[in-house]
Amino acid sequence: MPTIAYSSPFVPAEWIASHGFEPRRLRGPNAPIDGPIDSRVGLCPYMRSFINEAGTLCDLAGIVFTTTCDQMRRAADIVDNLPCFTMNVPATWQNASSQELYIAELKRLGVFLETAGAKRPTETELVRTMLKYDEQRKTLRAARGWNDSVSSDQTRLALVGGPISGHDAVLFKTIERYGGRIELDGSETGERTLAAPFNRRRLRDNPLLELADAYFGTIPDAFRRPNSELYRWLATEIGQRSIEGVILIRYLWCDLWHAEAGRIREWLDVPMLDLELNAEDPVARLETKVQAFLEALR
Amino acid sequence: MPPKQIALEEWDRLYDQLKATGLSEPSYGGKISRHLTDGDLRLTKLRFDNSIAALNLWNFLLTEEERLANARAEGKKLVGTMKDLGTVPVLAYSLPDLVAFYPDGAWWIPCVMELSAGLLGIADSLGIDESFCPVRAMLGAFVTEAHFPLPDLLTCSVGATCDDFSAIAQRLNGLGNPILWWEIPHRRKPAENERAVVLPGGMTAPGIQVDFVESELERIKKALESLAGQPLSDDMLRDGIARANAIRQRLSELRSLVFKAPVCPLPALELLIAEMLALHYCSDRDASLQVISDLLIETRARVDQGEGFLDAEAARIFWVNPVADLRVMNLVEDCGARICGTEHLFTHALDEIPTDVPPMRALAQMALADPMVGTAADRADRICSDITEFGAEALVLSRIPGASHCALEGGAIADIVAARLDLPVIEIEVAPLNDAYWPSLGTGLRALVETIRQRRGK
Ligand code: SF4
Ligand code: SF4
Repeated sequence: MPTIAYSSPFVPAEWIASHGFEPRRLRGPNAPIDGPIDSRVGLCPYMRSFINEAGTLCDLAGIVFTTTCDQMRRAADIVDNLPCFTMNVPATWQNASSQELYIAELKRLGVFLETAGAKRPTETELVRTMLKYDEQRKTLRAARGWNDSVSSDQTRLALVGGPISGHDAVLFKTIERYGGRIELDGSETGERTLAAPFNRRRLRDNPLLELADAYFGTIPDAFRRPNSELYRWLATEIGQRSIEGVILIRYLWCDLWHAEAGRIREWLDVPMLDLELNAEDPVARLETKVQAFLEALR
Repeated sequence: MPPKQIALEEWDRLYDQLKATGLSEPSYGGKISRHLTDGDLRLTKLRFDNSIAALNLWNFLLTEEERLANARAEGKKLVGTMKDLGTVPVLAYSLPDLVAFYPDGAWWIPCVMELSAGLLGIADSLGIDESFCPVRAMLGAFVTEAHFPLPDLLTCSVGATCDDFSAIAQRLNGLGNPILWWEIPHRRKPAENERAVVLPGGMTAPGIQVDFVESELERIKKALESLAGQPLSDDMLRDGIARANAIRQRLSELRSLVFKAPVCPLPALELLIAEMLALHYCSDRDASLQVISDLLIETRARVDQGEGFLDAEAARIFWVNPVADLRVMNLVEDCGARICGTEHLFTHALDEIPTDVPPMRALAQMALADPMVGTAADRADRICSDITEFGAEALVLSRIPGASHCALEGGAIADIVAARLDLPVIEIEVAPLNDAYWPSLGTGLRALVETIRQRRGK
């Protein structure tokens, strides 16, 4: 099945799947690879690894970029040898017109997919696909939920921030090795960005509206203006899971998360470690920081 | 007086002579050097145009803070308009007793005050370090309240803006400053069956995007009306647009004269300052028009008499992006070049606002014409057509340190321009203060001038 690659959590996988394509949310390869975007000062290494990885997919039918950050938006400009679609995801969200724009963009994405060979889904097909994805997210939530089995000598941590690439996923092991345990994954690739459960009645009445609501209407993120919902979400989740420390994950040159570091630190009642990843150096470089942070928390 | 670039002390002497012969000045007049007491230390390193029109331009620019304070004292409401560069001020100035200004202007404070204001240190302490562009100085300016009064209403355009500004504005908001956010989406080309709208500058956008921006501007309009305590009618807004266009027309004529004259009639530095006035009129729309009109008269007279700077052989350079260090504009002439075309991120604030559509629609079209909300290819198209119009022989892409758009966009623009026009292109980085890198900046520019000369010989 042809693949549509994307990275932003604001791209609904079920919308792509209902068109008959395989949605593949890339999070960057396990090792740096070359591709259309070279490495240079000022470029977000995560964005680079996402595009270069997409370029290696042999069954690629297209890449979906979003406007949620300047770097992704501009990268879409210069990838000229692959079919790309840039989806406008509004930063503002407090007005109905923002959601209307998001829905219009979903429709435009549908047209892009049809141009790439997809078949427009019937409403029944869309609903069926949405229900399937909703179930999968439910299972995921249940598996990731609060866990009684944390041993008392493990420190309960929350991750918050941008995505974690395949290359940097070793961070989870590093944290465990020094006695930490991720109780809340608020990174972009974690539970923070799961779409909200669908309301079954609204789903049947107007599936596209419900899809927009579950994604655009609920995912808290640093790029939103204002981004107060991110803090509301963090307050609830950190409180419910008795978090003792927070690790902020951000990529080099990622302004959106970098600018939040100071505010999150001031706002938290628990200590915070600010970790800058570059998707190319081994995370080992950060190991002493993680170790020192966890020792200080004990 | 033959045109000449003179240092600050020379301007003081010239000022005394002019005064002795009965110079009449606007209310903001005086010696330029008096602004040193405000901490504007960079002035001692600049060379200024020796015309009275330039004297007024500098004094007008450097007294904005006083104007804002006076406006507040007179009971006027202050609107801080962030990021949109040229749109919201047209709305605000269409209402009586509203004065709009750009807190973004703090971008230049680290240069003008030679880092003595400590604004970057404050931004650092708030976690906004040098990986962000110089606009981070704005955070420090809000914290110290020493460079502009806190506005009664603060607006910020987001969506297809740079991450630097969006992130810094959010930090400002997190510090307790309420912000009215409004959205400009990423401009795209209309699809085949989509309603297309031609924007100022000639680009097109889908009608649905213009509709959306218009609805966003309606929200801003309501907030301004409530601040002003009165509705903004279409007639008032049409008048506001006509006045904005009057400034834009004069500026357009000024740019055209400066870029096309056989001998450069106005230095790059003064032209850059004049272009800035189109954004928000330096907090006084009528005075702004006067300042630009006087500059235009002076420039026209110089062109008529064949007077100017350098000679007709000067290398003709097109300059992209504003320089964080104003002194670099002087360096251009030192290296034997003149500016023949600029694209300082705000061509939409220079092009005339349409008058053949309802006024809110016209503003929406203008906002969507912002070069920063579209693609690098769109930006390059405009640059190419302006290079052709103004006869530039080379392109300088001036990188802004930390700016999220520069890393990818610079290369993309350079490739398009070089391929389409077969021109030499260089990229340089200009920090707020470049004294330590002066020799290398100069070497790069001189090498470009040399290349231009060699190409002429072929
Ligand atoms: S990590 Fe930051 S800069 Fe990089 S793609 Fe994500 S939001 Fe953009
Ligand atoms: S200089 Fe560039 S990065 Fe900085 S605020 Fe302006 S547009 Fe944004």
